[in-house]
Amino acid sequence: MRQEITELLPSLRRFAYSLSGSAADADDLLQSTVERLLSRSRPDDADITRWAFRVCRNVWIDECRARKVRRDAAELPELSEGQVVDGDKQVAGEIEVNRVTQAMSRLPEDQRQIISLVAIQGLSYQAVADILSVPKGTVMSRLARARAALSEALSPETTRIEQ
Amino acid sequence: MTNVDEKLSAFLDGELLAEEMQQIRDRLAVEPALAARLGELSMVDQALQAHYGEIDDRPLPAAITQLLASADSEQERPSNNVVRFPLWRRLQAHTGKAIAAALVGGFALAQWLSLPTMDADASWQEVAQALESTPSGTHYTLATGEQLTPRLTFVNHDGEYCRQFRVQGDIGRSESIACRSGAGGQQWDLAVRLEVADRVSGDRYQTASGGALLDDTLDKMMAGPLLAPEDEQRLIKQQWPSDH
Repeated sequence: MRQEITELLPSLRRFAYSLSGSAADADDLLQSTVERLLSRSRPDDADITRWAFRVCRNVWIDECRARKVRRDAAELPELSEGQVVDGDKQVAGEIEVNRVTQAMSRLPEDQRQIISLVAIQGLSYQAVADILSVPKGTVMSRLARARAALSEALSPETTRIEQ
Repeated sequence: MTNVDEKLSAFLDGELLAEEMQQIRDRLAVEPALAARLGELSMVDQALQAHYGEIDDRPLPAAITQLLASADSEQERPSNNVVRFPLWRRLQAHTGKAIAAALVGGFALAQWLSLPTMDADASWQEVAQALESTPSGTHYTLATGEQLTPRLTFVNHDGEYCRQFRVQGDIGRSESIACRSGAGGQQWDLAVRLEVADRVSGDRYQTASGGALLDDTLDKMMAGPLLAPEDEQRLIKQQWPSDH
């Protein structure tokens, strides 16, 4: 079991990164995910990969909920990293936010999860449908929407220099 | 977002039905705007992979390694820097993505389109004959004295049989891929050829990389796993039927 999780670790980590938008948050999320994977028994019929991604996503959703309760968090997940609000640092952080992170953070949560599982992890639509408990057709349409939106956001013409 | 985007997106992932995949391929060949859109959408995947892959370079937090520590004693932990096998060796052909990569690369497609057709050439007839009858890993001596050795056989995205082969002469060597795309799947056409120039470095390359020089191209071309030796034998016996 530990061995299987260890093998999945790089993929889970990238998934966590794409959900959270910051590397530090990603490692926190990864750690919580690993803890939960080790503390729960795996459903007998579950494929380890799908189960692990599902757990990671659930941890993330719980985390998001907790944050919402704690404070009325900023819209952008990467800006909610760290509790210290230092005006200058925050501005610097905003400027350095990567274009990809920024574009991803503007996607609806479900689209972000789907494009991450397909485009970064290379999972099949069926596997993603199983992980997220949505129909395969939904995966297909949301994925296309996410790709179109990101393509728009990442194209050179629409790249803006943040003030 | 349009319905076209949805089709292209699914095409990119190889998630359409076979006939729909073909329809899109046919349209891509004649509609530059569609091909450009496919390129745009596939660039998104590249950007995401490049960006989120960066986290691989950060060391894993100690807390996580400790959580999984018992695995370390059982077996060596795979690092994030493990060299990944080329796609075709992993036997997970993500068909559409490979095509899109070629389109984005642009030059790759152009390179294939501009290849000379050699079927009028008598020596090509002989090469084709050798490909027709020689199992992978065995040698066939051409009239020129060069030795032709098929390396492997696979099916490309158009459903045609293709073979990678080496031609070794006194002064040089070439690595090529030919597919049965000529005359309605009845003839071998050269798809890619790579000359490996002089003998000295040729010898060195041979031991170092051999046919691996064409791995990237194979990644783009292969639609599934390599054919097993027994399947290859069967095809040779049946003279490469196109209705597989």
